[in-house]
Amino acid sequence: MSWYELASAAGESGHSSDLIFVIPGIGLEVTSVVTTMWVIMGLLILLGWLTTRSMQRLPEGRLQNIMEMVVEALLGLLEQVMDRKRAVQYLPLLGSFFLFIIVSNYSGLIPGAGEIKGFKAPTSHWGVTAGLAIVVFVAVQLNGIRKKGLKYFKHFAEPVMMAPLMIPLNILEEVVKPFSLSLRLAANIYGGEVVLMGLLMAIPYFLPITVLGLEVVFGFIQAFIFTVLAAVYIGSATSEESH
Amino acid sequence: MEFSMYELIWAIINFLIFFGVIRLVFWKPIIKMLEDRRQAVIENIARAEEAKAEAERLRQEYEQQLQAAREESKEIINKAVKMADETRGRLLNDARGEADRIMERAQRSIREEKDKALAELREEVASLAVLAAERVIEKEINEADHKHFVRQVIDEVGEVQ
Repeated sequence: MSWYELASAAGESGHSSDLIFVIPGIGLEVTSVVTTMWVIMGLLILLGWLTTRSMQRLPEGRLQNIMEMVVEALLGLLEQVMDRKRAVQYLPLLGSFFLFIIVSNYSGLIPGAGEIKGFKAPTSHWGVTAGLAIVVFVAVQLNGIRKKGLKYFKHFAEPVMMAPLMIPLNILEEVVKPFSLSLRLAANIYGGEVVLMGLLMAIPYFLPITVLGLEVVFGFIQAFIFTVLAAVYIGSATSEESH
Repeated sequence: MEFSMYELIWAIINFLIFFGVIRLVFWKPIIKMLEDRRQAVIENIARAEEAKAEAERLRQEYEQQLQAAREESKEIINKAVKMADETRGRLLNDARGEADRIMERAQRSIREEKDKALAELREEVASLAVLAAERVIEKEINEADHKHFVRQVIDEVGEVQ
């Protein structure tokens, strides 16, 4: 059963309600989530370019200092999961996940998100988080193979004594990882937005502020969890010792 | 919660493009910068340690040189003092010898002068005595008596002397 069928079986339609346009020829639908993704990614690339455009060894600009702090924090986080060499190697991929997810999460807290056409928090949609999780899944397998060669597949059959039982279980585990990764992220962000929306309709004053504050924390935590788990998956797939 | 296959496909495409671009414009330069700085810090610390060790080595070397110089100067002073003592003793000895020689020469010359003076005096006294005797006993004495008398006077003078 594919993810798509799984998701469809969960009760939602395969079509998004807020279609903006369809790319002719291949028929790819562009929804509000997709346009928001473009804007967020564009802004992040712009920010990145502005940061590195005039970098100095002794940073004087505020932007460079802030971004260096972010990068150092992410690197420190990865170093707790893997050795420094690999942390530096995988920082671009995992850091990009973190930056995109946290900005996406917070985009849903901006007034008008979900109501204005073409503006909807991408990470509140399972399709988007599933896409990200598939990238994580592929990155884990590719890096595992690149690091260990065919020996990478050995761990699917471990412990060897119970190989016939373990192979399907391990493969299932490998598939469940991105599944849970994507569902956790989307459900949390979506849930948060629903709660916020409901509260705003019920009691429009004061109370939503506390929930909004909580959502800021949750948005960070979810981006953090996604990044750390992806780091753990990549770390264990590329580690020297068996697991 | 909605699930759209299109959004899934878009998410993959978008993320891959986003990752490709931001890796080039942001991650690579900033990681290079951070690693360079880290490397520079590590090198600087190593260099500082090295410089410190070198300074400590030089300090000890100078200390040793200073100690050696101090000992050498002490030795030189001692040697000079010793040499001065020796020179003083020698000069003193020389001077003493010279003084003795001068003294001896002086005494000898005094003795010679005295002897000469005494001889001259004896001559003079003899002549004076003859002259005096002639005046006293003019004509009352003959040649023989005269000679006898003169001899007597000379002897007396010799005894007196």
